[in-house]
Amino acid sequence: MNAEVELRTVSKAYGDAYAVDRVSLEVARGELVALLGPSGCGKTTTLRMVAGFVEPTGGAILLRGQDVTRVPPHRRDTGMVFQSYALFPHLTVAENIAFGLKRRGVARTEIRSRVATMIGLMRLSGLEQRLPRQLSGGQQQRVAVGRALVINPAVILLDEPFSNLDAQLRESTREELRRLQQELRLTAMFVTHDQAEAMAIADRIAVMNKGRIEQIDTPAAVYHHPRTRFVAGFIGRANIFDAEVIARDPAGVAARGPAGITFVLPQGDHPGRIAVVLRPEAIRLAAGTDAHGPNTVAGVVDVVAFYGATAQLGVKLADGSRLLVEGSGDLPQRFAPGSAVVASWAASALVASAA
Amino acid sequence: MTITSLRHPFGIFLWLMVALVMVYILAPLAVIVASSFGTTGYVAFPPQGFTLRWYEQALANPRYVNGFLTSLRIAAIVTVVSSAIGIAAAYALVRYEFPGSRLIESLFISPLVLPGLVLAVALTIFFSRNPIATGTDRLILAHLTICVPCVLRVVIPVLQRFDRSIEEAAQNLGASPVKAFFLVTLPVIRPGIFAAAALAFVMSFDEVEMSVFLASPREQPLTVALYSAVQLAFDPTLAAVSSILIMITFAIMVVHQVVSRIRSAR
Amino acid sequence: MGGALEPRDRRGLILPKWLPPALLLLPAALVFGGLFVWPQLGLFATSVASPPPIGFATYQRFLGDSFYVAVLVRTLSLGACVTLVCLICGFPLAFFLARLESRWVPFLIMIVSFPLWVSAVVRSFAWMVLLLRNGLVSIWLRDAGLAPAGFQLMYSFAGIVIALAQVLLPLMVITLYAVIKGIDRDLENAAMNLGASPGRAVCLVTLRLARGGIFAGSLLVFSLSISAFATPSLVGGATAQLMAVAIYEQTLEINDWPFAATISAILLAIALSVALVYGRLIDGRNVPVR
Repeated sequence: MNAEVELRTVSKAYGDAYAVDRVSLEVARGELVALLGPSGCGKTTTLRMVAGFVEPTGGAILLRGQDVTRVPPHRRDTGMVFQSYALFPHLTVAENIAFGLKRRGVARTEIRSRVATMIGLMRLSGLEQRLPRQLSGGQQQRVAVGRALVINPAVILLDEPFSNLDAQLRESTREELRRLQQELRLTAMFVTHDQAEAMAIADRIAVMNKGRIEQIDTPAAVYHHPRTRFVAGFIGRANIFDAEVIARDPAGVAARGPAGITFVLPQGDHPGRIAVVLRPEAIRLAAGTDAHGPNTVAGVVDVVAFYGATAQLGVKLADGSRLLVEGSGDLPQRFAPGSAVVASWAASALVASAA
Repeated sequence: MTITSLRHPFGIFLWLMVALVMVYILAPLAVIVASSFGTTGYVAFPPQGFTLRWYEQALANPRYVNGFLTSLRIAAIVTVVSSAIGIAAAYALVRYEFPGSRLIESLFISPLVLPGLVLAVALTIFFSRNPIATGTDRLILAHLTICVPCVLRVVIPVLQRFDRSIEEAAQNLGASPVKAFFLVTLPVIRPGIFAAAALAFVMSFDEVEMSVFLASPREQPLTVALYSAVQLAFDPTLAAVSSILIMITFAIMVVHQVVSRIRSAR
Repeated sequence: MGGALEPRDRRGLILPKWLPPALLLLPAALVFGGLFVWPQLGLFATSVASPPPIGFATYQRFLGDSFYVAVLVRTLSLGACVTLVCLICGFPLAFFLARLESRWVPFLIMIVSFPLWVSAVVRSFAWMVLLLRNGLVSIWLRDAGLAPAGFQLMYSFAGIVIALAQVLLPLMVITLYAVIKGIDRDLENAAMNLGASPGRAVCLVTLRLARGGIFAGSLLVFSLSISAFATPSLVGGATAQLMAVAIYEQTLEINDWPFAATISAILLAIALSVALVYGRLIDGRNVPVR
């Protein structure tokens, strides 16, 4: 077992309300795990419990195999990058980065060389004597990361580290951080509410909802095989249908959904009621009014949105529900609003998750 | 582990300090209330026995009862007048930006940080030369010099936080500026105005220095009656009067807390 | 110009733009000018009118008399001691209240500020009971062997400091609470995350960042404690050798108004200069009331 961080059924209750409910999680050496979820799902509380700012009401937290559940923050080996960066406003860039080394009693000459290395690595040369308020948002963020990295912690904890940057800077900073993390083989936990961000840089994503981890998997697995309805809806765009299993045979499972759709899914162990997940890009459209057989449905195009390389169409079904379809940029030319269409998809594109 | 947790020495130190300081702040008041029920003929703590005799005597003493009524009357008048003057001035200072409005604001608030006794001496000299008011009116005028700044201090930030567009929306919907003020601005800033008025009331009711110098001998406010009585003797009725004041204040604060909690919970 | 009251009334009558604010400010200006500035000028005039028409005999008397110079020094050191006690007691409590994550915090703040709403006479009376020879605090000190038999804190400098610091402590706590609340608690968390113990985190980060607020709160308490009258005169007795008590003595007992005006003017000058420094440090709007 070489998990750098391990959470064992960690809970945090405030009175009767659980902010974090029996969360278990392992982060391997050199791995970047994203905690993803809507606000209030307990992801930040989980991260703060790893750092030691919040004391769990149940479970255990292990860092490099050592139980640190009751260890105060200053004796834990974590490096945190705060959402607000929490740079010491009265200290210069160099002093901010040296802070952790000084507390650890590192020799003065070594502090100087390690701070200089970090300043180079973080591309902060020339700004050593500046105060945080004299830096741009991106520079402040790099100081915050450098300050956490310089102490070589067992794990880097990042709390929404890109949320205070504008959209363009966010993307480049994200890539830079990922490159740094892979080069230095850093173990990292990373909190975000932005699924695209999590998909882009995480090795694994833990999707959280209402204090629990709904699914923890690679970005591709979370996207293609969402285990719950929440995960399917939160990661990417999805058409989600409630359906009832009506037949099972070796070839597959048939389920009846709304608007008279019959879904045929690959064989699987599904309960009677399921939620069928269908990604918009897996749907093919053809002109016509008659839908025959399973995995097809007829409808009328009612909304068209053009994005250049891609386009999205809304198709209104017989019962009034809507199907979201995504395809290449020529879709709007082929299907104007009001045209009758038949949508179809492959059985392999369907995923059943818990209803 | 938060910084206030008891799991580390600093947290323990913090809780210990807090407990000691809370005792330091509150114990004297608690001691007075407790000793007011004691049966000894002098104020003693811990109290012995239990009696309401001192309360009976206090309530039968016209000096205290009249003092209380006089203080109430003065504080009520001062509250109304200083609130009106203070709100008007605060509105002018916040809504109309003109050169020097910040300077005027600091000047108007400055009496709050100056010695009350010096204000009292200056006003005594002033009234002896300019007999523009007599008796209790002099004290009311004197209290205005500290209560108006106090209202300004509370109301100005409230008005600054007030979203002007609400007022503009009212005018856009056809309310005249004056009507917009009374129909929209005033109701929204009402909690701030209550706070200011309450503070002005307490300031006037509790004020000592000006009252000692300027009160008319025939109408002594309660603080003056207490001040001279405390100097002379440790009469248990004094503890009873003090306790009544403490308990009234405490009851009002608790009611205020409960009401504002219920309001914010809704 | 953001005139909410448009400079035009319903009938289309044009009012000068400056008129509405001027009318609204007039009553406050009358109170400020007529009842504050004018009497203060009168006080100053009285202090420099002996011998008439203009003379500084009372100032010479004050500064030439070692008794009054000692009164001045004692008043200033009272201010310093009270400020120190308020700081030592006030910072931990304010920090605790600012950092405690509990729904009881508003209630605790109410409890802490409660004494502010009780008259200084009542609070001083409570201290008199505790500090007298047969009072609880004096008995404790004697029992603990810290004081000789017959010792009492009443009428002593230490007694005045103890009582006055308790009277002004809530103000210090409220001022510091606002300052500490304004400091991001994640700064302390960051310091701890980087290896500083909680105590060191507070010293290295919070105390440093709260310096301005600490100084401002100290000036406020200092200014109020050198000006205080009720508590020192009750706990210290009518003969307490402090500026405020001396002013009272010269007026209502000795009836030497020019000399009282002089002591007042000196006290006023000190308080005013402290207030000016304070005003530079902190926005006038942040002055806690009382």
